[in-house]
Amino acid sequence: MSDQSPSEYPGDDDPLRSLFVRHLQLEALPVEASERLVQRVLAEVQNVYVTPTSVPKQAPGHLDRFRNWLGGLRPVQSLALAGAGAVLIMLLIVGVSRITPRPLAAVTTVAGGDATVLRAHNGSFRTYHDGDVLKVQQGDHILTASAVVTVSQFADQVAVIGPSAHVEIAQLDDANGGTQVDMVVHAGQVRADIGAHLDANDRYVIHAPGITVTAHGTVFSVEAIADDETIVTAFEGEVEVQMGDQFVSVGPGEEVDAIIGGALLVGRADGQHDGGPTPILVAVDAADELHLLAAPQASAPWLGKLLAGRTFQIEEQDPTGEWYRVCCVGNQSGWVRVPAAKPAE
Amino acid sequence: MRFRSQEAALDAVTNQRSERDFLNQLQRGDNDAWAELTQTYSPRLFAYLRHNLPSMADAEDALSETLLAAVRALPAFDGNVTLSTFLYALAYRKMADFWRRRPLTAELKETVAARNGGGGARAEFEELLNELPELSRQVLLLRYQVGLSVTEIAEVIDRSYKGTESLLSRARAQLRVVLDEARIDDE
Repeated sequence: MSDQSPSEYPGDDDPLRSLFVRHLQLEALPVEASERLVQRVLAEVQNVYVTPTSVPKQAPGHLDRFRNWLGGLRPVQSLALAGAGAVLIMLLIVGVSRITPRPLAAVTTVAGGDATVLRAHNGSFRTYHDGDVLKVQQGDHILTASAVVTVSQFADQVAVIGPSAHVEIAQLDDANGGTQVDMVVHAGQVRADIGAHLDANDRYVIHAPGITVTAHGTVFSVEAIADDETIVTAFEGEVEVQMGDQFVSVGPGEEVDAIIGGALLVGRADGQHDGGPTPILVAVDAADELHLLAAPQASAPWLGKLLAGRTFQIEEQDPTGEWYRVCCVGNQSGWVRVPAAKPAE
Repeated sequence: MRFRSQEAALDAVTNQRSERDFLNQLQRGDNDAWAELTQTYSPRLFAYLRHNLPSMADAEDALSETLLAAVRALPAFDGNVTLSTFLYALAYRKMADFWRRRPLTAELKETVAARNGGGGARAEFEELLNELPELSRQVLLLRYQVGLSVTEIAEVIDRSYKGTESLLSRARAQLRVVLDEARIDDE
């Protein structure tokens, strides 16, 4: 049924699995319910997969009569009618675009379930269902239950909000002659897809617990795991992640695990354990560079400095969790002290 | 109507190569294939839903909605995840919809206690599970009760692999805390 392997979490899964097996016995589906279920499924299969073989002929309606009238026109009359229609449509488009202010509401679609939108302007809320189309504005909150919600913010700027998420549209306007998008991910996952490179006046920012993510024409996701942890994954282009005074840029295939109070951890986003060391990026400003030491203690000899913006691979962490052995400065690894990660609650 | 054996059905859906054939049969609207799918997956889907919903009737309804949704969604299914992941993802969403519609007064804790007669090791374990945050409880059930891999759980709850791994790690730590407090040994 699944591709789980005993080695995925060696030595950790087995006791828990046996605990679940011991205490959570399977409750059987009653036989009669099972039979009813098969019948319902097969009936639905007939509805969905079997197309009707014959459709009763209906009397011609207004549409058919209009079609017949069109068919009776001479070629010159048809051309004149088509030209007049085209001119009318163009006049309508120009007129509407002149009288309508630049839209600051994003067309939003709900798929696969339900989502609730809290409206900032009047404090109301409403639940939308699969297939519903709505508009969201600055200040609105979107809470997805089972749905995936797609917010088309501007041309080529789309945010896809996953299930069980809570996202706030903090800013959505065209101030400063550019597109301005600022979202806050309180929970769950948002995938941003920015098709065209952003101009200098454009701004696309996502906030999540403890971090700020800035896009530069890219596809990326921001996933709030808990109040103190966020994961950012870059699929295309580049994103900048800032947590306090730490700062990192990641490109395609890279992800950042940001735990408040800890270091920004940068790793591969392919989702598989490669058995290798996890890279870490320690970025500091020039006035406060981190020193590489020969041992995990402040009094140990200096080996070098970790320069701002450089990536170093973690080779080891000391038992206190405050020191990492990283590679490499001047071809030698050494120890660097970073704030201890806050333990998971 | 002729149904193939359970073993044959299970083989068909667990073997990756034949799963593609099986999927093709389903997408053609083959009645035998749909009956096999229903009979093969219903017991475990039902068990999963039963642990998350207050009554047998609710679990049966959610199972029925899950399979009917599968019938409607399968023509557009591209096979990029396994059928089991596809079905559990639908079940997970039906469950989320159930609890969203349900009045807040209907707490799962009460219903669990009621169905277990208010006592016993099983009831105690389920109550401990219910003390965990909802997402933590779900990833633990999908991992240890259903037996999905981390990759599959990520597909079901629509999260990244890394995020799911982190959620699972936190959920295990949370479970250990409540087990320790209740003095239940997980070894």
